[in-house]
Amino acid sequence: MVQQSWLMRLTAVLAIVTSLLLCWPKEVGAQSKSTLVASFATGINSLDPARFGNLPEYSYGNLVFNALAYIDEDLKLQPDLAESWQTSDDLKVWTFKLRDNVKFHDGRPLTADDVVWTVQRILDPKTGSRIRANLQIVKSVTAVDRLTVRFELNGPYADLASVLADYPARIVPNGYTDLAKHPIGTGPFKFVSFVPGDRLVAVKNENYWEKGYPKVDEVRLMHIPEMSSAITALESGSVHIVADIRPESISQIRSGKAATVQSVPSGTWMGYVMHNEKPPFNDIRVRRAFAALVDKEEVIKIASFGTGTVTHSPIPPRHPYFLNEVATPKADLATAKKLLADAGYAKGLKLKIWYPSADAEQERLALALREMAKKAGVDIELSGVPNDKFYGEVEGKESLATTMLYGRPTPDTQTYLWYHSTGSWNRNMWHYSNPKMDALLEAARAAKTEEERTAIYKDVQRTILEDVPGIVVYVKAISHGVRNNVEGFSVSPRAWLELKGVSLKN
Amino acid sequence: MFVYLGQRILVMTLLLVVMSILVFCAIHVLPGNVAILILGDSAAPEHVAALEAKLGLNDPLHVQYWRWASMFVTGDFGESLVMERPIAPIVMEALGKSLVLASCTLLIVALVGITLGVISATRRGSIVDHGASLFAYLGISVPEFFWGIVLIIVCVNYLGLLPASGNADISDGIGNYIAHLILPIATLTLTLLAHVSRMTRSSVIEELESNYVKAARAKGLPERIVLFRHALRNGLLPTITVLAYDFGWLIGGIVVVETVFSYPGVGRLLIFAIERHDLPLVQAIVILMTAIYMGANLVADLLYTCFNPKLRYGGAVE
Repeated sequence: MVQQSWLMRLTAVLAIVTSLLLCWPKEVGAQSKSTLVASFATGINSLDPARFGNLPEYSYGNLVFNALAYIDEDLKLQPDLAESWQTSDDLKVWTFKLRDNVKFHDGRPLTADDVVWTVQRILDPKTGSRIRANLQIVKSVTAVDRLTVRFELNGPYADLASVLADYPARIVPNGYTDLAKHPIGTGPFKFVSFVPGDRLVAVKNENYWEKGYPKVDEVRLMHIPEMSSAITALESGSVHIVADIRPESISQIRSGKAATVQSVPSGTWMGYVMHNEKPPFNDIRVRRAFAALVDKEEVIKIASFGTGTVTHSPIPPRHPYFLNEVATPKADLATAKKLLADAGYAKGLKLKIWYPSADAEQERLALALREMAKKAGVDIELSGVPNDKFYGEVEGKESLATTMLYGRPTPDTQTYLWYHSTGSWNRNMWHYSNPKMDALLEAARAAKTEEERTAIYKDVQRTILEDVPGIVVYVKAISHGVRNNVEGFSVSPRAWLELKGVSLKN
Repeated sequence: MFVYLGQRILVMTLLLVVMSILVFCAIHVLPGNVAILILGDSAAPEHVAALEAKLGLNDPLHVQYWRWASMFVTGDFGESLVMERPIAPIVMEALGKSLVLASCTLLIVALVGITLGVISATRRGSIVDHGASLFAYLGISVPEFFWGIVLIIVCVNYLGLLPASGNADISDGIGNYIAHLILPIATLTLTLLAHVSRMTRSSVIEELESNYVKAARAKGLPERIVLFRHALRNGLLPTITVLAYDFGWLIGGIVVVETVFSYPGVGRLLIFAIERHDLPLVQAIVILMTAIYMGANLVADLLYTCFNPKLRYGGAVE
């Protein structure tokens, strides 16, 4: 019939077009330059280092910028833009000597004025920088001469160099206001383009001050929100590194042959936050009861599929100051029930636990607590809410919530803001106040020797275990999926990607 | 006709203003605000207050709205509060990507859907008809992210034929660019096919049973002319409405497919903006999406008049 031949013609056309397309070369023609592609499940929000808040942003920061110092994979402090630094006896005045002949991507030379501008900008509340709280110890920062910067602090502080090595303290050009649109830094790669939700492209900085770096010609940071798509791309070769693989997806890659999973315990910690000023947790017995009924190993199995490592506090287990002397207690239901009874909850306790619904690991954390608490007669209802509600109305206001926090570079930055009564995080989380803890944290800042500091931080950890402001359960392992032809890559416990030494072998 | 057009455009403009006010109020009802979301959980109240002051969030609502509206009507979409970059290029880029995907998909859906519908209508009750219906129903009953992920697993993992993401630079080659688009288009086509094919099928069946078709056949016209020049032309009217509606959906409603294929379209950008309470960005996207949606429907209404002169607006029926 006539329709049939019309139909057959159409089918034939479609078949020809499809086969043409499939035969079309899918890979770009022989590239003489090497491009490293990494993917993240979250997107970059801002190109301005002062505004950084997530993993892809920190990784982009490592590409395009440098800080005064940096923290290597062994958690040791190394010089970066500052060749050396020294501090006065009272730990209140710090002097940094900058490297000479370092240039920004537009050719202008690095001077002390750039450092002064960077720090003052972070401290300016109008910039909206998350690191402002960490740098409030700085009273003034001045350029002594072209390559020397002096910091005067409000109090003694042994860790200033480490704080200045932290994510957002990347040095930016003096007076430059276009950072969010055309970022310029001193880093191994130069910024090329950014499409929100898609990719960020950076090319090799031919004039990078550290000889021999970087090794590849171009880096693309892709935003691939769906983990299975990212893993498929990793196995097919269009992505070389998939950052921050969730525990539940790790087995997908181990069974493949083109890529492996590399993991390292990070400083990112997960735990339960209790409001110390509201019932029931204003009673220390209830907090201790909860500490007694939590089996940390069990929580790790449920929440992180066994990939986490137990810890007492935000100071991670591999850190030299970690309180090895105290073993992780097993769950002690009898003690928990007795403490609850003493506090007046013998007949049981009903509570809600809040968590951000977008984070599956925190949801599992909440679930684990609910199951354990049941055995002690505590009835916990799960309440998952979207991020804006969590940060706007829940955190710091409700009685019980879960939390996940990126690791900080030093024991002081890991603890002060959370456990000191004036700490800004403290006031947004557990509202904990203990003059003994305050004294310990302040003494630690002024301690001059390693032995002194180790001893003080061990006391800090003991106090945390006694007072239970909240329960820090474990530190997460950070896992990246890496293709087999990627060389020179190692996983940093800071969780970000450091790519300047990475190359591709074919 | 022009009076009609004028009226429609006036109504559209009014609707856009109402939309912008509704969106503005909705964002302010949601908990939290953009300053808290920028500063994250580390924010001490005084930091948040300082950022709020800088972003003008403390001004009364109508002042904030007017500030935004007066810039917008002059074409200045402002800057994203979170990214601190001009909104216009960001939205235009995302919109461009969405338009490419939407147009290609719509074309394929129209071609395949109408073809399937016509085949089913002419071979009504046969195995071909049942097969086509089954295919279409399968496509629409299973969620699109399932098809997307299945297609990725089959075509990328097992067969190694196509790339896993939907987006590629044109500078990397046009063939490569098209290859990236195949899977997202296939996924979306599966989802949209049933509406179009079933609508076409029932319309064409109805037309084929009407008197004028009987008359045309009695006149001795070849079946092909009866089918395409008469039955289909009239039967396509409902299908055009469906396609216009689908176009609107393809522009802003395919967040799931955009996520599965990492396609930086307008849907994902809107979710990004809403999650962060980035008001200028939300407003720009919503207004553009609404305008496109209304425009698509206007085009559909105008197309009606091409297909059926009796429906011409403003003119008296002779």
